[in-house]
Amino acid sequence: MRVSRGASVAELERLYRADFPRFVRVATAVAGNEESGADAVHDAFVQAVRNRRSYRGDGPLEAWVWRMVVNAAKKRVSREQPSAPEEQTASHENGFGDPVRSLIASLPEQQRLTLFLRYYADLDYEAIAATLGVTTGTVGATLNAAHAALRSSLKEAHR
Amino acid sequence: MKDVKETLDRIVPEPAQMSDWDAVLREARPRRRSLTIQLAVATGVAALAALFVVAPWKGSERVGILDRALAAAGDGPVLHVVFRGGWGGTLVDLKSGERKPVYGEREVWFDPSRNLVHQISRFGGVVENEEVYERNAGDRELTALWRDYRPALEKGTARVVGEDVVDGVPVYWIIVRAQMLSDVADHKDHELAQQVAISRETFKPVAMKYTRDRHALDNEVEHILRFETISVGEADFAGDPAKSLSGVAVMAGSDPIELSQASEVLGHKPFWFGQEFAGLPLTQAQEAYSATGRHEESLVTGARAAEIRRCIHAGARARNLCRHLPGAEIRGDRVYMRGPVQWSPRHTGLTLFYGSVGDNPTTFKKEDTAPLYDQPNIVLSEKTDRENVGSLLGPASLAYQPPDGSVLLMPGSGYLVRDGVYISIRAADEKNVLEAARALRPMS
Repeated sequence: MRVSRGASVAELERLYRADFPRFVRVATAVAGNEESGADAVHDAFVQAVRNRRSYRGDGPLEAWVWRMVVNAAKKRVSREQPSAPEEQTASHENGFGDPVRSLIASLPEQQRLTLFLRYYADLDYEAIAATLGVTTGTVGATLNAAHAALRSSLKEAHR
Repeated sequence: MKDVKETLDRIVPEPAQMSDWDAVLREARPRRRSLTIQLAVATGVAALAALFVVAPWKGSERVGILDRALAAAGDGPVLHVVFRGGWGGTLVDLKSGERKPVYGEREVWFDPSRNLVHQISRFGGVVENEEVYERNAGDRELTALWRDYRPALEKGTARVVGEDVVDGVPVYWIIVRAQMLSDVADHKDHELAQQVAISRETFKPVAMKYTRDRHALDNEVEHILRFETISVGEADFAGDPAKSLSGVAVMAGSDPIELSQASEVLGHKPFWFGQEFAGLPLTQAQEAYSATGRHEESLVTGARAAEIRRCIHAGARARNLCRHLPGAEIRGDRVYMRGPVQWSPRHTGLTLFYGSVGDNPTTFKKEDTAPLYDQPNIVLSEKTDRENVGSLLGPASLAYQPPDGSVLLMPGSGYLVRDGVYISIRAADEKNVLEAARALRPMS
């Protein structure tokens, strides 16, 4: 029988307070807007507090929580699909590099998540691997593929 | 990789959202594990078994208690309860010294299908405030009695945990909801539980308390004077807006006067303790004034009302959504927007300060003095009319009036009525208040 180590509310609170902006940033990148991102982080931590005893301790607590944040943000995307066209119009107006945004959106989900966790969450390969449930080798390969796709797109955008 | 990072930074800049750990905890706590599991974890199956062996309410008798409690709870759709809380005072007869408690009570009708509450607050049996409003999640007693009590009896998760006597009534204490929560102070889990006491005679709730590891938090027990579930037709949701203190604003202040102006200011011959009392000289007379105000209100309907409802019900997580909707309020099934405050005419009264005075730091005149409240003092306040603002302006603003010849003692003050003058005495302790009340005489 496997015994759960469990996480304490205090540990989760420390994580929440220390890394809230990073959680929101990744969740925003996944969910498409900051409000949904913040809601996703809230939902994820509610789940984490409720299910803290099921944390088995066989990986970093941080990765266990990151997985919940990413899943909560993905849920938000599927729940809020109908409003997507409106948000895209807004981003045009904001002048953000729309071709790049589109390219990122068209990347396979695993590549996108790996990029976000690497650059927004600043996680190392090991933590990303634990979060996404893959090996560190897969993280490296996925990042390489994402970089290659993005670089070619950036070059085209600058021409 | 720098170009990739810069591009990503541009697309999703640093977030502006504020963290709110309390909101996380609030939402996480209500849907914790069931009471049965909590108890099993907290005390272990062995401990539960021991409870059944040694407790006098064991076995089938215990089941009988909960069954009878369920039957006594009734099945009407509206909850009607009268609570007696921790606020109140002591009425003292000035001649005989006889004392009796005066309680604050609240009578509540709650219709869960509309989430509607009608609440009447009384002090000494006199209505002080009356509101009809949508229930908020913070009303712990209502939540416990409606959401937790009957369902726990129905599902069999309620547990009898002891016998007791509350206000002379023999009771069984029942845990209707329990959670194991971590305390950041000691990093240990503690049982937080809502307990309800039922009469051993009627099996109806007569008290409730919130416990941590089985001890009442703050030693507070909320008494339940009446408990019933009734039909919608029997319930009272009419309310009296004139008795509502919701949205009432209060302003008050005072200015020094000559003692010779005291009668004119009060509009009545004042009472006092003489030029000196208990070694404290009368050093300042003041004209005290106060006024109450209510916000202008406009009824909001249609899409705007729906937007306000969505915003308010979304709670703390909808901060951005609500930012442009200040002053909105839902009462009953209606939505209002608040406008500016409309003030009532000023009420004036007299205040006599016995004690030391010193330099008034708010003026530049050397001759101006201000009462030194940090040194021994007694303050006597009198008025001939009053607003009902609960106890916001001291006990003399209660709708309740102590009978002739008696004084109502509340923390730090006493309240009495003499010859149509409403008098409040503030002193260091109860003994000083009573001595001062007995020494009152018309100003000569």
